[in-house]
Amino acid sequence: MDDQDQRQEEDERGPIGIFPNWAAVYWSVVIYTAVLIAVLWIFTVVLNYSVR
Amino acid sequence: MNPIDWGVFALYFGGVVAFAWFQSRKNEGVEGYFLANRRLPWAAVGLSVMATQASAITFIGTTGQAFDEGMEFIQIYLPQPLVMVLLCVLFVPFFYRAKVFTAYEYLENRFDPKTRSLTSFLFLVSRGLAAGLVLYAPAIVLSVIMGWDETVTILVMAAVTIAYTLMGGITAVIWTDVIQMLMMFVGIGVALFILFTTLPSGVTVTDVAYIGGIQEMWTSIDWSWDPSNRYTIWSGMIGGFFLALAYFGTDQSQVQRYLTASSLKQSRLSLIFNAFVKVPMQFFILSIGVLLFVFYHFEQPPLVFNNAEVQVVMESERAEDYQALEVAQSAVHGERRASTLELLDARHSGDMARIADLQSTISGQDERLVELRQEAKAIVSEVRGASSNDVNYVFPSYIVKYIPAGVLGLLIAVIFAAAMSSLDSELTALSSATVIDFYKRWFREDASDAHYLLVSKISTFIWGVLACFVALYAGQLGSLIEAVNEVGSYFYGSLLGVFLLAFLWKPANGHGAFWGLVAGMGSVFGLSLVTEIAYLWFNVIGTVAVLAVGIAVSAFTGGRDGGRASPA
Repeated sequence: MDDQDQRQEEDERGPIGIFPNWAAVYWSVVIYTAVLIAVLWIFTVVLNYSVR
Repeated sequence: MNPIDWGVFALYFGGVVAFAWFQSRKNEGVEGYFLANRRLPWAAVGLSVMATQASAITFIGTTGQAFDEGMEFIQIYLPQPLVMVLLCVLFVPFFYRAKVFTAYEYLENRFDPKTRSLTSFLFLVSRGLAAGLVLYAPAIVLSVIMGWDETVTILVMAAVTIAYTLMGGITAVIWTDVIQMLMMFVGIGVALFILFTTLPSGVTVTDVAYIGGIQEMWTSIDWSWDPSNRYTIWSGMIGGFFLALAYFGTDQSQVQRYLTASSLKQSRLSLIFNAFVKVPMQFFILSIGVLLFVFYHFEQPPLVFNNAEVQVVMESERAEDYQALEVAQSAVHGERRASTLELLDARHSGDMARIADLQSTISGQDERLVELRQEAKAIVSEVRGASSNDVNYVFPSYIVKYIPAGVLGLLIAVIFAAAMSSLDSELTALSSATVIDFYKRWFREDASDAHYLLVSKISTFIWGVLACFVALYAGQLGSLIEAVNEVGSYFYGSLLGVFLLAFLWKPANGHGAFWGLVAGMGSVFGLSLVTEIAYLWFNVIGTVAVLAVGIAVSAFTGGRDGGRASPA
């Protein structure tokens, strides 16, 4: 394993910013997507003033 | 444009070229030219990924689309955060660790040369033409709206882009993309701010939301299951998911970007950045369109926004019919303007009975105006013998008429920036696929780095000239380009199928991948002839067909026979 590969292995294991690991980052994106859909749905319902 | 606008515009061009030249000094050899010696930070790569996807037509076309149909187009972007996660988990590690220059190079490592060559060839054909359209589409809009010469507009955009791409390769491209993307953010903010300030005094943000809501313009989620309905949550989350995965995971113009990152972690972070920013950005771009819809309740819009189309009609025997529609539109618009102002008064004073009555009146007037616009477009289509599509002209015609001096120059520069930041990425991607997948693979395997660098620059130049040629003759090529573009949409899902077969099905071999790809494209093409399924579903069908046929053919031809070991 060369230096670059070793550095990448360390990247894989270490914390990612405020997140403890990559799995936490990915789950935050999944939750974020769900929140986006929910917010847009609320948006759709609340801002519908159609008289049809 | 006045001198201030020209000054802003010149500052943009000068800044981009100077910055590209400054960045270009850091490149070394072919790896520097195509992959920036794999040393770029995630923020620059992330913004470049975003800028590559956001072409000028994204900026001016989607605002026009929201003006006509509201926010529903946002559904196509909703799966993108999830796509970014899948790319980080599955695609990026394979590409990054294989140390490849192109996505298709990986397919030879995994399958065989014919699969690599076919996928790379499909990319070159579709992206080669798309590069021309990236130039042509904004140039034609600016020529109609600003009165600029179309040929000069195309040549200026192309010359500057080719120059800085040749000079600095991917490093210059990515760093100029950063500036261009930041300019787009500023442009979106400025456009929203100016739109609010040009509304009549006393019209508040809640009033804007309310007026848009009467015609359901804020409807962002549609739960219906109709497969012929272009934009629903299902076509967005399923069809859009496959489309985005194919684009970000298999298109060299995107893969090349995240291969330039300094580490696997930086590469992943650039995509996670996109996961969080892309949807809100698209929301704001679409909001500009809805705000325009509200704005034109108070100012009279043109019946058809493309002046060139209107002029053709005025010189035809249908001119009187068109003028009659304009008179009718003017009358209905006047009535709607009065009703809207009255409604806002009633709303502020809490007169509920009057509100309900006026809402119903405005809704009817909105529908009448939509009908008049459709009738006008039908006349345009009849006279021109081609369908009228003035969606791309809605936003530019607004900025030319209502935006103050200085800001107009900025927004026109933003349109240029959007076009150039897509074109530069296409050129580096086309050049890398040409040189790495064909020239180096089939013609000169053992030449020096300096030789490949020279060929890469020549290739970039040739693709740039070809893009110019396509853009200059796109008007005459017309239906041919549309046909090639349509065929292009047929194989995106199939390309994705090949990569998924490579990553996920260990027994798959080169025969399975190759014939799976052919079967995927064939099945999508066949279905498009006999059904009216919305195009987003083609990506799902293509992917599934490749996987099914690829797995079956691999099994019948002895499993993983000719493929080399996976680098992962």
